[in-house]
Amino acid sequence: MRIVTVRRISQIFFLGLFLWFCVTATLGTAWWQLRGWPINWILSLDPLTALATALATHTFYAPLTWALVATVLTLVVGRFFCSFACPLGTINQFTGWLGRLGLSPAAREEANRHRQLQAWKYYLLICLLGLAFMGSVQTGIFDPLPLVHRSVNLALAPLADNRLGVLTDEPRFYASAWLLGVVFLAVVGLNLALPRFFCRFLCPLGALFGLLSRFTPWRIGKTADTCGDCHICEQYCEGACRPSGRFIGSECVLCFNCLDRCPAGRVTFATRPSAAGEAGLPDLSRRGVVMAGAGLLLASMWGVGRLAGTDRDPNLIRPPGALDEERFLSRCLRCGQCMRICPGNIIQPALFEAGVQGLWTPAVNYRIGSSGCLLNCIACGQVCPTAAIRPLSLDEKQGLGEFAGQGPIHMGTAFVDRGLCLPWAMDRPCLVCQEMCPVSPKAIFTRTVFETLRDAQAVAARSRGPAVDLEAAIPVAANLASGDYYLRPTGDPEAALRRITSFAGTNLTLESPLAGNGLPATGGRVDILVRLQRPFVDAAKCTGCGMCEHDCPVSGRRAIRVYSENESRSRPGRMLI
Amino acid sequence: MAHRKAKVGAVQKRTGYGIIAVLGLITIWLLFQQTRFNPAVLVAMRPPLLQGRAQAVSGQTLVATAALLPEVPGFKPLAPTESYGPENLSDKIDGKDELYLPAGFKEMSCRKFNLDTAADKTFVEVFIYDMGSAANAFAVFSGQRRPGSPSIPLTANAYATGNALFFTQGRYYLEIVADRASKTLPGSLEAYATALLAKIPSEGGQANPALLFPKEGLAQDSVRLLATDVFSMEGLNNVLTGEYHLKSGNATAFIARRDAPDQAQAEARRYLDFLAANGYQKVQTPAAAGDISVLALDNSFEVVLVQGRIMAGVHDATSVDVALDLAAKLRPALKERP
Amino acid sequence: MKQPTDEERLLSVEMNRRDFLKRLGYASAVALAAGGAGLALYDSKGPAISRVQKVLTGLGDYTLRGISSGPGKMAIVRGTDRALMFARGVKALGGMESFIQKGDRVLIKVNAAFATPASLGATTHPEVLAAVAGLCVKAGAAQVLVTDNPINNPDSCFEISGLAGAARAAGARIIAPRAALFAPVSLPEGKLLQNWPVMAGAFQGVTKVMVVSPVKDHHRAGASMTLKNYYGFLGGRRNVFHQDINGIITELAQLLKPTLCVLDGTVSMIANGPTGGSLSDLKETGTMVVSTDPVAADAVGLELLGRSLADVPYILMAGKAGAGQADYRQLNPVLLNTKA
Repeated sequence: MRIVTVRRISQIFFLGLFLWFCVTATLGTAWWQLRGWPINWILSLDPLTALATALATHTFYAPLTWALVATVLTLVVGRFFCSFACPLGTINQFTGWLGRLGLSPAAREEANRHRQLQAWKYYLLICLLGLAFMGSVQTGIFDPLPLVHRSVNLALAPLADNRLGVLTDEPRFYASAWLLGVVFLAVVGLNLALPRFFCRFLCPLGALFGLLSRFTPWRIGKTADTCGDCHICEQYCEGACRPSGRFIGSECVLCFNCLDRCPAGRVTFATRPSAAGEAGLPDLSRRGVVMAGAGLLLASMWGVGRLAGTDRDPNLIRPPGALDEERFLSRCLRCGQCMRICPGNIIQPALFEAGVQGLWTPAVNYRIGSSGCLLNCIACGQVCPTAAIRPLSLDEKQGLGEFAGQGPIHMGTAFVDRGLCLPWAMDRPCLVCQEMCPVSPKAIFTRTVFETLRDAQAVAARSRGPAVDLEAAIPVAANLASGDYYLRPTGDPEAALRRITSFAGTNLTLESPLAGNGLPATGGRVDILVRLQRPFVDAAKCTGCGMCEHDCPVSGRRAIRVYSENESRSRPGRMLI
Repeated sequence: MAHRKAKVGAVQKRTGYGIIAVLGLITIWLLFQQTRFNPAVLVAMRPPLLQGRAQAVSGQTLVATAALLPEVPGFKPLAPTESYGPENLSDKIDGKDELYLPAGFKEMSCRKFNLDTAADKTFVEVFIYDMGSAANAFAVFSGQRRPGSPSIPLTANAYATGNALFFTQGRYYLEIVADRASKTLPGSLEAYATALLAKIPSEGGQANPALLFPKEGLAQDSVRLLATDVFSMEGLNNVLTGEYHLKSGNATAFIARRDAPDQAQAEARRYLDFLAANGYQKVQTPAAAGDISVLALDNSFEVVLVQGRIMAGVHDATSVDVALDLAAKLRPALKERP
Repeated sequence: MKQPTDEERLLSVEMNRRDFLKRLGYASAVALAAGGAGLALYDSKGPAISRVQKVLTGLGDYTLRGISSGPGKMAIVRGTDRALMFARGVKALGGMESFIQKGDRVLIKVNAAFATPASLGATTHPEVLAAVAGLCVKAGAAQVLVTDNPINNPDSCFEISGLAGAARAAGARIIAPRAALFAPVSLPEGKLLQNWPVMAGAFQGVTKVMVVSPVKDHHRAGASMTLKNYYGFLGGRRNVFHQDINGIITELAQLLKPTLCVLDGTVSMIANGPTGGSLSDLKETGTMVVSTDPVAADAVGLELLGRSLADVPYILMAGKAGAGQADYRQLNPVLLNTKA
């Protein structure tokens, strides 16, 4: 069995596995749903994630132990991951192959020529590690594994599934998915310019693997310095590592195309250096490295902006269980798993709410999706690969059992906008927010007031028992028989209100006759009042779950909105004592 | 064009097989992992934490009404019985609790079932409300009576709609509601109702107060129990009314059962005073018996009489004839059942 | 092509083996380092709900040995000359030498809440500070520090109120609040002071604490005197505690036991506190209280404002919590009159 065949099998295996994990990232027990599938396994193999989070948090999170396996294997054989496992690598290689179909040998060789700019990914790696050292983990933007998870889960899969409805009954929406899609298409599209463009020039994970393979005992090499010089190896080299000449070990992605295609069999994978000479790393200029160190400076300047402090955006609501902002940004990979798994589809990739540092980190938006944060759901924290969102138990989220003392997790607090709210500003009964509030006892309570309708004041009328006849029709658009409207003789504010039970033309029926003698035979006047139950938020009970905001009928700027005040995760947000 | 080497070295072959073997091991490991459900899935599978007092443990019932819901063959329970008190009734029925809470609601239990006998699992939910007294039970029963639905002989107060049964028994108000109507449904629901009624302790002797009303001229299903401030009089509570359409006109008969005759008398006096204060004038009618009072205001006639511990009469009659006519029918009906 | 000789071939094999071993060595070393680092930093539990920090349980007990049991000492001095009143008052309690020994580091907590001139009575009067600091230095203190976490900008507060000048003249140093000085404090059994930043860094190496406060009306709290002065130790967004102002002052009173309190009621702000702003808000009440008991001192101050204990609940609450004695007469105060 040829090694390149095995490589292809392995690539298909990991790409298929990755796509399978994308499918199964749906909460449920069916064979194609989450069950126990370790959907973060590929992400946890990533040594860049492990290294960056270790630098930023000074801890090594246990589920990332798989990264050690990948590290040790790379130290011994080289960048096997790039050719045998990485799903984006497979996509890149395939696209590049498509793009070069029918190309002449000379053109192929030119495409795979080693270029000095391949050093750039090392500078990017150093910059990202500098940022991580300062506590800001930005690797997720460029690291291929979070990138491909994010792009497929949030941009491509919904594109495919929203019409078919295979994965979910309701279409899934993700804010600024177009941006994620464009970035991904650019990454993949660049392969048509040069094969494995991302892998050669931009991939920081590849750079890390490259550094680790500096001293591998086993590597590609030629058995003799001089050979036929057919350069077939160069024509099919994926890493642009110059197998026919001075071999650059850190650029070799172990595609084994050279070994497989050499007509004379002079390319081997052995423990001796290439007879044509070898270099460990591409030429890295000192200036480049220093500039890369600018990562440290960048993180410090972000500190001047003080995002996590008192000027934070109150619209930034993080999922329940998220850490305080400083620690959150030292862990979040922007992999999009939490956004993918959320059954309500309310976790969205942030654009500006969390600042530049927080690009594509999860932010909750109650206006999108199917409901607020479900009371009995703990999915987001359970699928976060780095515990930027802590894996909560249901008891901790709801403040029950051993967590009864500290109470439920607050994501924020709802605030009623009295200028928009129907019972407050429009004289219309509503109360959807109070009905939807899922906590018991409810965090929304009401105070009832009776307001006289503007068009139904001092209306001339006669009464007869429970019936009242108006002299003229009144221009009231509402259904007076809905149970929320009451009648009272004009000029007597102490009189008992009578609920209107039916209404036809100018005839009203009351639930019981007017008190006393009813209306005088002539000159009687009545007021029609609407009973308004005006909502108030009990901030101590409100967990910021957003059910109210989601269902408020004022659907543009909602009349009840959740802001991050009083969120459990941060001291600056604390509103109540 | 040079040929590719045809032969593959042994080392390469063995390495290849080794890698394939590792992929196989990974597959096996993944298949094993997917059987150990993620905690998020376990939580999503669990039915939501019962907000009310949970009754899941068999044999250990903390709430009386929960014990009354039987398990009937053909009805497959879908979840444990849920129970609610006044403080959290709204968790189950939301705003409708306004109907029960002022009417003396004590506790409620409910349970969801699937009807096995139906080919397509019909969903049925059974509710039993302990309203504290038969009068309260009747109040909520009559207060939400679906107009036009036929009475059924199940209990003294019972009616059926296309997909449900509603009835009272003693101080309990019961609902058996299915999610669809079908031909076989009424039979199944009544089977459950019978089993349910068998478990409810009979509080003997509580005759259906609605039966007190004379039948002739009584509008169908118009008997109501008004709870408070009846006829706009403050303090006049718990009065049964029935609408009548007689040849001589329309009127409303009312019956108020009190604990003792002197209470009924006092109530009658208060009501008469109230009417007088509101402008009603006494009407002298030779046809009337001595101990009933007839009052009138404009074209509305009131009659008040007392029989034992019942204060009764006619309200808002359209003519003095119909008022007296109805009063005359009413008195003997009351005499029959004290 | 020249074929390699046997010698050359052997040499190249030798070099290859060395190279191989060297590389294997490097790879193993890095692998072990990575594994070791992973093990050292290994975290199987994941992050805790909030950053784990060592949390203080209080700011300290600075009372004199002999006084900590039994009622404290108090002198109530009448007059108009602040320096004179303080000198007489502290002499009646045993003299400054009984409180300050040679080598003591003294922290004086003043009320520098607002950047207003001393004449408006919203801050500790610089004359009192000068008197207290001066006597401390004379009694042999190694260093005298003056601090507060003001509401307005600290530099302007200390300057405009005259306290910076008074401190400089007396040889004391102002400690202005900065982030590094704040550390979280959790009062055991406290409901409000849980993991809250407090200016504990100002107490580094401090052996004696004096609290020097003016007598002021306070809109929210009822009165701002000695106990309310402790609010100036709080950091963070402390305004949240206005929701339970009496509760927070009671807890603050349990946080710290000072050596000596000076309550300056020479001119009291009897209306529109705590900022005041008009001379008509002030009244010449001509009294200064020097005491080891902050609760008792405040009880006296209340009388200057014409309020009762019921108007300002935190005094009784603090007394009940063990911070002092609300019935100041139990201390058998020495009554002095500098005008006589």
